[in-house]
Amino acid sequence: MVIRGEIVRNEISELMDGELDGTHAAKVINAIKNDDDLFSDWKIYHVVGDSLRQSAVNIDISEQVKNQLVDEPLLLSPYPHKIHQNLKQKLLNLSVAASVAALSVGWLISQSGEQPETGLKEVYMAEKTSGKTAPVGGHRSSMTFQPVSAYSSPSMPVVSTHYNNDPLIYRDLTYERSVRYPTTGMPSPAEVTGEQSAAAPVE
Amino acid sequence: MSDREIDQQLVEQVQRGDKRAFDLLVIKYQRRLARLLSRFIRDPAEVEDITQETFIKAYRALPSFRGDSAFYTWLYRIGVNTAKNFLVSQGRKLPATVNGFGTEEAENFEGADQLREVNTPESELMGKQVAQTVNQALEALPEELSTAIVLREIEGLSYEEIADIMNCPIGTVRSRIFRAREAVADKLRPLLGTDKSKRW
Repeated sequence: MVIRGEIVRNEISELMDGELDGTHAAKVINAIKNDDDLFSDWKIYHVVGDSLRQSAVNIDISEQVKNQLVDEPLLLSPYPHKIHQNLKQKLLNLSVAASVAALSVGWLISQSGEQPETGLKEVYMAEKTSGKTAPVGGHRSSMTFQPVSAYSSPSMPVVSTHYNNDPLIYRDLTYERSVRYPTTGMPSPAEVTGEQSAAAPVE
Repeated sequence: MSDREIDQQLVEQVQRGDKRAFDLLVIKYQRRLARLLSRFIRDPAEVEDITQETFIKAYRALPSFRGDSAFYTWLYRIGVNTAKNFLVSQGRKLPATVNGFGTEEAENFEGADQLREVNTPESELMGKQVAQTVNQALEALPEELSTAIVLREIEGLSYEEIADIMNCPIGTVRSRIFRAREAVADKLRPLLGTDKSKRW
């Protein structure tokens, strides 16, 4: 007849060999912790294993460590690795949400008929560097952008006095001063050469 | 449930405030850790102290242990660092093996043959008695029991692999290994006594 203690010891043997399933293992671990005889069996089975592997350095510090830990505070950090995993999951969710939002905004911009300010700047630079006169009215949207070096010397239109009343030219001059080159971070050719822009308004 | 998963379960219990679970980990790894540390430290008493200190440090650091590596790998790393710090604090030269001793070496460390004798005269005597008793008990076992436990403890095979080799069901392997352990343990119990603080 097999007694209960023997069954549990058999399970301790299996536990040591990593052959118990999770639920069973948890039960056996609890049994070992709460029963001095089973605790002793856990201990002696490890001596047997270590002796067979010829690794029986003859020390047993378990009691000393146990006594030292009496004064140690209890650790109360439940499942820090799971917290870590949760944190990683949250970060992943956030990054996915951010990516979706960025894609949505990008799509909305691409669908928009009106060019944003950046597009306007690019068109404006193309206008100036291609040597054309500033567009009038609604012709800007039909212009094509031809990238050129920001340092290329544009051939500026000759400023006539009647341009001063043209709101587009006024806008043009405003751009010349403030936002013509901000996207590249480079100074305007006029700033580089120290000359006043040919398109500068005649005061 | 693998060995590593069992350790992780015990670690989680310690992290929830269960010190008794830590006792099980100490019992499981104390000799393996001491054997590793004896590679760097000559004095047996110092090996024992450093082993003890390593476990205390590990306990205190357990809240930050996330299970990214195996518990014993992490423990060995603490042990090696503790040994290094100890040697430096003593103004002793670090053995060349310390600096080149990484996690992988710690995991695969089984160099019993290369070890110095790390036991005190008393513990050495006890160690010899334990080894002799285990060997005698093993020889007295029926062949199927001794084969099963040797394949498990020395070769590290799983029950399934042992069943294949011995051409028997896994349940039989389980039973044979348990009976072998019990038989050897029975011979050891009088020698080790019931006094838990007894050294062996």
